[in-house]
Amino acid sequence: MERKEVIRKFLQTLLAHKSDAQPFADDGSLFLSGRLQSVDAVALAVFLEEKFGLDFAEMGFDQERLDTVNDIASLIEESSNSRQ
Amino acid sequence: MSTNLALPFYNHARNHPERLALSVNQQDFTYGELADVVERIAAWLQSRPASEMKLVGILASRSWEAYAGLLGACWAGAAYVPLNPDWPEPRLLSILQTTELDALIVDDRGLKLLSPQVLKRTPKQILAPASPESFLLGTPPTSTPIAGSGTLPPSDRHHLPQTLRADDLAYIIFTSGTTGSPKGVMVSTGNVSAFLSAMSELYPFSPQDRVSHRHEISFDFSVLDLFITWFSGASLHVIPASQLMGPSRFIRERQLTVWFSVPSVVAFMRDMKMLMPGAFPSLRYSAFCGEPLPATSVKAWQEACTDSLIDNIYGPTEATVACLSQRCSEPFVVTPERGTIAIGKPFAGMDAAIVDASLNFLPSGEKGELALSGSQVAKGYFKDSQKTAARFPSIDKKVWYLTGDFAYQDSDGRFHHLGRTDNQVKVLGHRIELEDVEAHLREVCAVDSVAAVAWPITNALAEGIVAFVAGSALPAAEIREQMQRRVPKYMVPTEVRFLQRLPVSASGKTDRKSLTEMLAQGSA
Repeated sequence: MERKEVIRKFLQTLLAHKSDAQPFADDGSLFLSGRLQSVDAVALAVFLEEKFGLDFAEMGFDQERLDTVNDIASLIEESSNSRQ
Repeated sequence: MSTNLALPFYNHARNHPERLALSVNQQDFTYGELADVVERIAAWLQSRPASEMKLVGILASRSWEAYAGLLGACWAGAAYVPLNPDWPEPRLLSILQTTELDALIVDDRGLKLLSPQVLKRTPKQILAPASPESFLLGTPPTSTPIAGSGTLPPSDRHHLPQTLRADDLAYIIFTSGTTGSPKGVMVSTGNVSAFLSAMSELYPFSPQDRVSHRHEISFDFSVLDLFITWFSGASLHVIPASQLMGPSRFIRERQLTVWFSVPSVVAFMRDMKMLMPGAFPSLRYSAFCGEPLPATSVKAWQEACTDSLIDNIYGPTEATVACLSQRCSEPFVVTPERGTIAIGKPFAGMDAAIVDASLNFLPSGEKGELALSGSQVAKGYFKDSQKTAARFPSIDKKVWYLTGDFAYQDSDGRFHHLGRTDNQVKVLGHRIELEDVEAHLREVCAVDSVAAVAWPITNALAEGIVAFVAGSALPAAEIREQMQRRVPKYMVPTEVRFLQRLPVSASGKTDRKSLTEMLAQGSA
């Protein structure tokens, strides 16, 4: 599965827990808009660590950098480049 | 001696103007720089007689205007009323109407909230930022777009903080109320001074300390961060909103020495694998408040900052932030019923006791309601003498505050917290009366059969609210959307579940316990 598709699927499940079935674009805000909250941020962080090896201990968890599907995809990209 | 909370700040600014006082949004303010603006804000407030300048609203969040405004109100001898820009408009309107503020200070976010409807209930005297540069350089903010807005007078370095008595009001903080409208707790400057001096007994705060500031000024835990910093001549480091859940990098980059937060943050950071051994070598002191502190969280935190003392501090807003403490050192003093750290012993100047329903004091070992008395007990609820009389009764000629917390005292004199005697819950440290959520749910759904419970609960910490509704045709998404327009975010149900009928107990009340059991079994 394409990376962005994996991210989209996971975000969909988070939103579904809140009975939020509205679509979201790849550049649509999820945290800053209030559709997802802090507890979801933790779930997302754990998911990204396990699935893509992101190290939040080192980079800190900044919701602004994880607000949209595109943001998350670029963060993964950046992180894998810096590891190479 | 004056109990003006801005007085120690003033003294540090006079003696060491070059020291760092505040770091917010990548802007640093020395004591001298901050005092310069604060003193001008105070002079602006004092352009009217003291009798007409009692309550100053601060509609601002995590901005230098919020902190300068709050200190300015203290300096002028007024009480501050924090107003959170995240609140939905109806809540803001309700508090503006109740308080009838004498002046209002807003930051950029607050400024955007001043709709025509809000402006009808704000005071005439409003201070809004033009631009940070002009504000700081002393040019009056001329481009403020609101009618009646103020301009700051020029600096006068001989203008001292107003002399205050211990009984004078320091702030009014609003918390969730069972009727659906928030209630304002009135805390005096004497209450805060007693609290700060007790905190200084737990750790010798010094000008070298770099203190975290995580919580909004509308949450009374912030009183500790702000005023212990400026009492000690230390520096305050405001965590950016986007990093609140995982501030590991912030702690390291700022070399923080003092950490204050609700315990949930530790659980989040642990889940994000941020609490690696030795992760935060700079921390010397950590205090947790606002929720039960799981022993497992303390262990995880201790591993990440081996040089930090750790305290569990406990207290309701009505007893000024915190008034009992328990040091967390091995072997931990744990409340065995919950696996959480004991809430410990009262601060100097405070008494704690367990009472029964008829307000008789109970001996150690017996369970009952925790009552508090002493120098930190607040003045009561704003414009609500009935509720004040009910919750602040006189027992043996002393005023006690009945916390609603279910607790007992052990044979060593330490207190243990077991839960609530009512339906108040804490979600990520925010105090919520479930009846408050239900009152709004009833209006939104236009049915009586609604209930709210705290869920899920992991290690004694609640993560959200689940709503139950019977007989409403509104879809869940619509209910959540309407709730978002009425109550703060943390009170919006994370989930809405529909039942044919809500379970009721023998007394005919909604049986929240069986709703929680349904959730635990996944059968709702």
